[in-house]
Amino acid sequence: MNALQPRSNSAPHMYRYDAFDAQFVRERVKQFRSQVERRLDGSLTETEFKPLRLMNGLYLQLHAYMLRVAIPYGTLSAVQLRQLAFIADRFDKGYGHFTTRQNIQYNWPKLKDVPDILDALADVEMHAIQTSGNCIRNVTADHFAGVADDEIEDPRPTAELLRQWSSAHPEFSFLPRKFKIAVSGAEHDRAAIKVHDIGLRIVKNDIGEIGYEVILGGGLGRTPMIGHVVREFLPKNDILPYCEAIMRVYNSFGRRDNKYKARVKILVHETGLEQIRAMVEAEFNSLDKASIAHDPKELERIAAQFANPVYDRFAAKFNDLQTQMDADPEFHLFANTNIASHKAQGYSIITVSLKPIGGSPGDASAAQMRVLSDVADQYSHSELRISHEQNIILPHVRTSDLYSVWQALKAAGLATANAGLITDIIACPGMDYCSLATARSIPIAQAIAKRFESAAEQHDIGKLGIKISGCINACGHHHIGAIGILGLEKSGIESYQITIGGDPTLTTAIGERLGPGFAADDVPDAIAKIVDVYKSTRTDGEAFMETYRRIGTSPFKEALYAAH
Amino acid sequence: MPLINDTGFIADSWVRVSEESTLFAEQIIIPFAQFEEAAAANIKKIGVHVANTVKPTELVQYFAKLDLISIDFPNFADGRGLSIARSIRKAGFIGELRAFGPLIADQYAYARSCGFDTIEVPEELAARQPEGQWKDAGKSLSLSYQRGYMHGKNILNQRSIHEAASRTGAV
Ligand code: SF4
Repeated sequence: MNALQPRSNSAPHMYRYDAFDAQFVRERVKQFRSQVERRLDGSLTETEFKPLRLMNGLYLQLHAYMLRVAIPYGTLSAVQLRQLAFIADRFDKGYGHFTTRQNIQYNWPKLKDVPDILDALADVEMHAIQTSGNCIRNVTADHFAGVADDEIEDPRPTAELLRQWSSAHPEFSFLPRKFKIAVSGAEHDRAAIKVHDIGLRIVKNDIGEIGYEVILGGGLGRTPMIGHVVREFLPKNDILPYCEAIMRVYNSFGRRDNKYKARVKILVHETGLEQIRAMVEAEFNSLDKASIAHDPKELERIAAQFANPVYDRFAAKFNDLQTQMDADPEFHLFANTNIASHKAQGYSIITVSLKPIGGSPGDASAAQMRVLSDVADQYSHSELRISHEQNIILPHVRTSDLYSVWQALKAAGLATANAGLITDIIACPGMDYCSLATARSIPIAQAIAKRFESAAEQHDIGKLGIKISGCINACGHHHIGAIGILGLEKSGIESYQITIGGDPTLTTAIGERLGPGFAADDVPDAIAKIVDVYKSTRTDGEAFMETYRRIGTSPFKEALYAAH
Repeated sequence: MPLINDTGFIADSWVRVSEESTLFAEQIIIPFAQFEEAAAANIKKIGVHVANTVKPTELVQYFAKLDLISIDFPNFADGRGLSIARSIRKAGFIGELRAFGPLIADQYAYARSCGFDTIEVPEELAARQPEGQWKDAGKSLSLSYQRGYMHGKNILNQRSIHEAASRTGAV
């Protein structure tokens, strides 16, 4: 077989492993299989085994192991999703949980099954490599990549190049702490690049060349920080040497004395941006770039595989959508919220919400995964995306097919019309699964969703993102929720802090705390009061965040805490 | 302490000299701070042991006089020594580069890639992870994606070669 020939298996419009990638992943599985054996026979202590299993995606949770599988830059084929369903059925309890970092988590695998699961993933060109541990994590990207109408360039070839470069990196696999990279290629930031350790924004310079704006030192967690531009324009071909320089500075100088101060954001903060920039640039200039950089042809090879499908020119002729919407109010609601414009005429992007009222945010059953695979095969060129909002995207749907797709989704309980609305809540697993949790988050999300169950009310409120974390680690990204909820524990009782005004886009903002925490049962009421303030002060067509920016926090504080 | 290279567990011809002891053997590894003293004592081969906070640039001026640099790994999860090794190699050191500390067999390939020749591990660790495990670990990842590192077949280079060959019709 020609080593460079993409293997069959997945959708034709995404990166496919060549023989090298395939062998690399298989060797990694084999290596992990022997590491499990060596843990069991005592060759490896638990302390030694821990980072090895984490680097293969395996966590020890509250009740069991949890396996986190990477969905690099959120792109997934129908074949791959079907395999994820198979794994859920065969090795877990029949469902999986999609996370805020374009991964899927299985909550109940057995240690002895994990190598087999990894092999099953390798069968469809997937893996769990570096979804955890103090290494460079799964590289994420805009979930509308390649189809967004505001795109300068598809960010996924860069993300794939970085995925490969960061895999089993000999120098950067024992870092002070985890390291997350996100890439965006559009005008709007849908990948939250300013709250990543490195955020890359594809930009065009004055003379029309495409390169990267490099943002360093963002992050959420205990000490939320917005990243700084460390390099305004990095020529494309310098990306690997520049990343190597950043990583070497971080690996050498990042703090190792305190886990909570070990992220690169703290290094940047304590050292100062100018000094860090000087250190990175000095390291970068000392490198023999030609020996490190990728061959430009390699990026072309990768990019070619992400080429869009050939769209049907005649699809643009369809103009009955409005009629269909008028005829079916339920479809109308769905179309209002869950459909985005596509760069090709006559095509649309569908967001499938994994946030049904009363469900666990981000969970999908094996049966639902299969339905989505079938729908993708039939209507979306066999391709899907996972968003950091924990939803699933169908990226290439003919506008004329929207109604049929909606019907198919509805039959499977997947047509919740709430993308971007108050019930499209992001929540981490919290106390229900996570051993680090200080409070529950899923039940809080469910209670809020119930409170705002009425479709009419949700649509009247409009765009409003709620994000919930079950502890200070902030996996639910509460800092950047328009409304953020952080579950803490105060002398044995859960207490929920509410922040407001967080923003994950290019105008990134960390939410402001409104005051003392609330008991679990009081959270829905508190959210309702915040919403009431918005509704009574908004001007015509003003979204929640706009009202907030205009009036500030005081009216909200007053509504929540003023004595009655 | 047990010493490992690509051939397995090997005899160590170097003697580590602690700060208190006098300099006597032919090949000694001394703390970096004592280098000048040893250099004056007319010893055949000198190696220095450095902490993982050393600035690689500080070592460069001594390269010609050093046959070995030993880098401390206080624990296996602290990867600083890997960056130091890489920087030292990049700066042109051609003597023996040794990792000193409780690195595990699973890190062997990484250490080699970053430029280490040998690893000196505690007895207890070598007893748990005998020679065979180190040899297997050395072979466990035969392919790598990072250009400019030293171990394994580089995938990006392989692709370039392959691409060039197919352009000239060799494939
Ligand atoms: S935020 Fe805390 S509780 Fe939630 S998943 Fe992360 S570590 Fe667990």
